[in-house]
Amino acid sequence: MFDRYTIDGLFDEMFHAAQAPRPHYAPVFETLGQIGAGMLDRHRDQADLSFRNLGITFTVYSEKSGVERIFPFDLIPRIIPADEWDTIETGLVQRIQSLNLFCNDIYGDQKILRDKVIPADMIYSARMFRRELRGLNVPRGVYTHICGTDLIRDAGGRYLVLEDNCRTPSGVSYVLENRAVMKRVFPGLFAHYRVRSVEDYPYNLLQTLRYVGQRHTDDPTCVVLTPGIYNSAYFEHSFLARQMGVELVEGRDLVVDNNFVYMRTTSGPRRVDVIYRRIDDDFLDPLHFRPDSALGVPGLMNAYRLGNVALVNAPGTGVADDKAIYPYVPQMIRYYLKQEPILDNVPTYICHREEDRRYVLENLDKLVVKSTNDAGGYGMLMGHQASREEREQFARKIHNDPRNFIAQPVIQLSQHPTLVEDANGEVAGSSHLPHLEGRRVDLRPYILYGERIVVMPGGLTRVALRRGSLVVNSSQGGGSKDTWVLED
Amino acid sequence: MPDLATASLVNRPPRPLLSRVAESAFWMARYVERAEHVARVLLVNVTSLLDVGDLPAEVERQFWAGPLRIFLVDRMPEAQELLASPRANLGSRIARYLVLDEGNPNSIHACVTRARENARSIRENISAEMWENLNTLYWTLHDQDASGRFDESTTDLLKHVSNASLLFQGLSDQTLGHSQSWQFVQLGKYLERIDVTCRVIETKCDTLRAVDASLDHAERNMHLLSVVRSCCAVEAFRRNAADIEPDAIAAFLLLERNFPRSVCFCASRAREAATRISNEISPDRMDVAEGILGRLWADLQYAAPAEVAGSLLNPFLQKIQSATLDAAMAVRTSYFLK
Repeated sequence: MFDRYTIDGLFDEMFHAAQAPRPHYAPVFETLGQIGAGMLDRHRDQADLSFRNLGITFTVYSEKSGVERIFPFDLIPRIIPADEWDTIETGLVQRIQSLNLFCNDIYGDQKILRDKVIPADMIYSARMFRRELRGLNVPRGVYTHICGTDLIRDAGGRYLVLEDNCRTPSGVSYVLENRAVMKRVFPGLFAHYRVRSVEDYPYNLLQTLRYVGQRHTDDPTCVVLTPGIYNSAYFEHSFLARQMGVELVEGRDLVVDNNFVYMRTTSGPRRVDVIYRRIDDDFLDPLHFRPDSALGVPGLMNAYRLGNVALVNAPGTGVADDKAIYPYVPQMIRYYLKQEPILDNVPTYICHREEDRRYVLENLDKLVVKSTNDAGGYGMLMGHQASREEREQFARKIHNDPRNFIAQPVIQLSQHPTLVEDANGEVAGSSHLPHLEGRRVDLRPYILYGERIVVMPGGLTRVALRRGSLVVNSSQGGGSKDTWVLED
Repeated sequence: MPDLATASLVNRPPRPLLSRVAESAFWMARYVERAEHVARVLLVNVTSLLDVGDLPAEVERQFWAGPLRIFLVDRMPEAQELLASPRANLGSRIARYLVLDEGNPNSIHACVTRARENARSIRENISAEMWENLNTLYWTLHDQDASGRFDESTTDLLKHVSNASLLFQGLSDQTLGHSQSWQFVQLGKYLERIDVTCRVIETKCDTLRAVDASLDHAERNMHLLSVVRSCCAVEAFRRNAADIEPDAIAAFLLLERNFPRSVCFCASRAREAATRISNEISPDRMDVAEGILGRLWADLQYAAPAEVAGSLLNPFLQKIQSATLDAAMAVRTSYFLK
């Protein structure tokens, strides 16, 4: 199974040297040897079929009329030892605290700007900064209730934060569904390991929602707001509503009357207290943001301003995950918490700063350039792989709108054994037999900020299924793996 | 002593139901039911035409025009083209149009797609079992080899669809709480069944009248029985009546109180669902749909067989269909547009 497996100077999650698994991977290594690639492949086919029949899919926009696809799932679990996870968890808690303190500050007194820790023009030029929301009392003082922070590991195995997703991070439903499949396929392996459970995430999420709603009433009505069944993450919206036992609503189901929000039911309007919205700020309220939005609810922002409804995550929170604000998170941690950051950032050049921009333009072939507000692997240049024309095109874009770009050195993400069929014709004859090869991975843990902070043990491990690819996004040919955080 | 006074964890007051969810539950059930009828009507046509061997071309065409008319697609240009085309494989081409054609709004493919789309938008309100069943059926029809399955054995595919629908109904009854959304499922299912059953009777009787002269006694009986068979009622009808006569068949399919596919039975169930919904929402008000369905049920329950015989049949069917339409409109106004 691992005959042709190579490490090539990368950090490998499973092996510290060829054929030598790290101790916490030994039972998996052994089990894989017993099962064999053919059986593993059959298990995967079964898993795929069950994902399809259960409707665990996402919609791909670029293809005609949005095609439903299953999110490719790889059966080899990614395993994180307890002590390693403890460090990550502490680092993540520190981060979500700082990001929330930052939002409160930015939409309040702006001390961090006055103390010149972050230049004010970085904030005022941020597309997701909502100056009209300054001075608003957000329910319970929380802006980012749900955060998905993307972690990667460099060639030395060090965990780095690639970005914080403070708006509407998705993917958590796959974590839960992947776990369910793994328990079916490898019941024996779970007996070897003590894997921390992820199943209480929906409960914790509901508690988080209820906490922000319990200012006025003991039993707040919470709903999940979705753009509808054609949204790429619709499965997740529906899944979370189902798991929490709350209504899944679309914009047209809600109506604002006298600055209160109601849902239309067969027995007339019913008051809504908390909205977990999976719609971007811009689409929330056509009276307030984009007038052409058919997804939102007219009057919602006024109801929110008056404290009559809580929005989760709060509008305006996007300023905290602007990619040109991200480089300042370590400063935020020092400034607000008086602590040293536990998880490091990836070194980042902010094209808005002149000396950074000059460096970026001179070294485009060595850097990854990202637009500051895009997600999903869109608006990105992998300088070392790009053609000359692509690089020139990006140079012009950076020149025209420097605030919109940052650049980072290429990080060689860690790799993880992954079942593949296609060896790109390297080994003639046997190349299509399923076998294991290293593929790059990242990790997105989910953090909830309610009455207390809860970090889901593990999270979504995304894997770039194309050989050598560093892009793990599902829209760019990425898949996922189950992530096992071990008990002490 | 346990505390008996505080609010109970069970038997709570019903949760409000989103209007959109009610509407989707209603249409989900209607489309599943419609797909089942298409499957059953085709199944009967395919098998009964096998029995009779060589029919005159015009008669065969009449028999295949029936399903197109029942499902209201006979005026579609594609259907007209099919009917005007040479005879070879006519039945199988029409069947394919009614099973797999994506442009045909009432093909099984289209019905299942819309049923599944409605189900997908209310997954948090239906059971995982219902969803998985319907989603699996959807993928059976959307798979690349759906066309191959049709060619290999059309009857197997049709039986599969009809069984999937029955399983879906069973799952609705046994895995979904019998709350308001379930009542909308019942309402959708029974209104659709009334509607299609009326059109089956109407169309088949018209067809038989048109070709009566060219059929011998045995053929005529077989085609009459095919009306009953299209409604899943062969055994029930046989035990009920000795004569295979159009009047007896119409009376049975319309007025029989205890047979779940008779219009009378469906009207009774639809009225019951409407009553329960309206009792839950506004107990003191008389609901329009409930009134329409209650009167329809009374008409069917107390009608004498002579009132649906011979030339009285078609006007009677018209009356039922317009009541069904009015009831659906009333449900829409009272609950979906709220």
